[in-house]
Amino acid sequence: MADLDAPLMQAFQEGDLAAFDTLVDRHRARVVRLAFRYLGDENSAEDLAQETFLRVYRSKHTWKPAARFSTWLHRVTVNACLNELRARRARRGVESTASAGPDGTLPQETSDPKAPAPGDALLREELAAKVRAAIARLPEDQRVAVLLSKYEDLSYRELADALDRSVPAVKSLLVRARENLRQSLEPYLGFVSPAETGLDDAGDAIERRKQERRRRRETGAGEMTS
Amino acid sequence: MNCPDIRENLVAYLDDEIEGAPRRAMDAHFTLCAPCAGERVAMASTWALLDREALPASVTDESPSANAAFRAQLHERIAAGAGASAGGRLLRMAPALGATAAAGLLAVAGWAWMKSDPPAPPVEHSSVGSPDPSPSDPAAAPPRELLINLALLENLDLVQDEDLQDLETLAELDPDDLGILGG
Repeated sequence: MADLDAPLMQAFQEGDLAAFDTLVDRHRARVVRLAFRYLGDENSAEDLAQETFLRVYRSKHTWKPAARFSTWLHRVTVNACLNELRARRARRGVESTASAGPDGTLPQETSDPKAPAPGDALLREELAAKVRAAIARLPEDQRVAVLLSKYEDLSYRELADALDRSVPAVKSLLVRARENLRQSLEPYLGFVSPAETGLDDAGDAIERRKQERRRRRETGAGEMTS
Repeated sequence: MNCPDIRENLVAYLDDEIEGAPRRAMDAHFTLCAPCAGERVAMASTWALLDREALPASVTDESPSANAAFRAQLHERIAAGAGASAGGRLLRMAPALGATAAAGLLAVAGWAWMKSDPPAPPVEHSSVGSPDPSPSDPAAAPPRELLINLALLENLDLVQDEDLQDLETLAELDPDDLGILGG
């Protein structure tokens, strides 16, 4: 499928600011969402999205038509997020917020997973907090792979381009990330219905799912969740 | 496929990265192997749990008004950043520009010294009628590189911000554009 953003980016490179504005409109929301998931607060996410598009503006000539604009934008966003996190650490004097051990495994959660289950009214909030915490505990490279794969629907090939890694390296990264997430979220797996897993989908449903992902990436439409 | 193969490829399977015959082989394995089937459900459930993450309304706002507000702020920052950027680059380039200036002045002094006549004996009368060193004499013209350096030094404010990347770029500028030569 053609990259619908490529003509806009080329026009912007030739000085068409309206094309830049259109690109901003098409991708602002997903950049803000990715930044929020990475940084964890709304104001920082908005600021980082501004910073990301400033970088796009200033670095427009570094984009080449051979690269999908969205992949390039993801890369710019991720780099901006990493810079922000490093700056935060420097300010705090903390070496790292990622708490994984040398082997990439995570320490056990401190809260008691056998504690009484929250009431229905609090369940969603509770689960959302657990999910956010589990993602936040991932090492940086695993976290960004999960965010781009899960919430931005990037394929392994696109992830490899965005993260400047090989496809096998991306695959390995996602295996470790999923294992870490499973470890963190094991007590809550029972809350997931079979329909939510998509495992009952037949072959044609899987193909539709993949086409829908591609369409979302092409059009810059909203994510598949939330 | 055996169980280790299945476990190795399970995540790629769940990410729809495995298609065709290999996928069908894995599906067949799951119908026969309860442990692998259980692993498949657990991993898929973990991934599905990530959908329970809730985002604040401000982060999910895709309205045109939100886009417009974002763009307005972005354009302000672009405008503000352009000035700051140019100033910052000039500051960063100050040592190099200083060196260029010094080199230019030294070159001017050297050129003037080389082109100057030997000290003439004092004359008591006006030299009207005596031949002046002609500025139109090509042999006496200052080197073009020297004029470029001088032109750049005198016209830095005319040089576009994006041209101030490095001195190589400066050297590539056409001095005619600076209105010094050929004018």
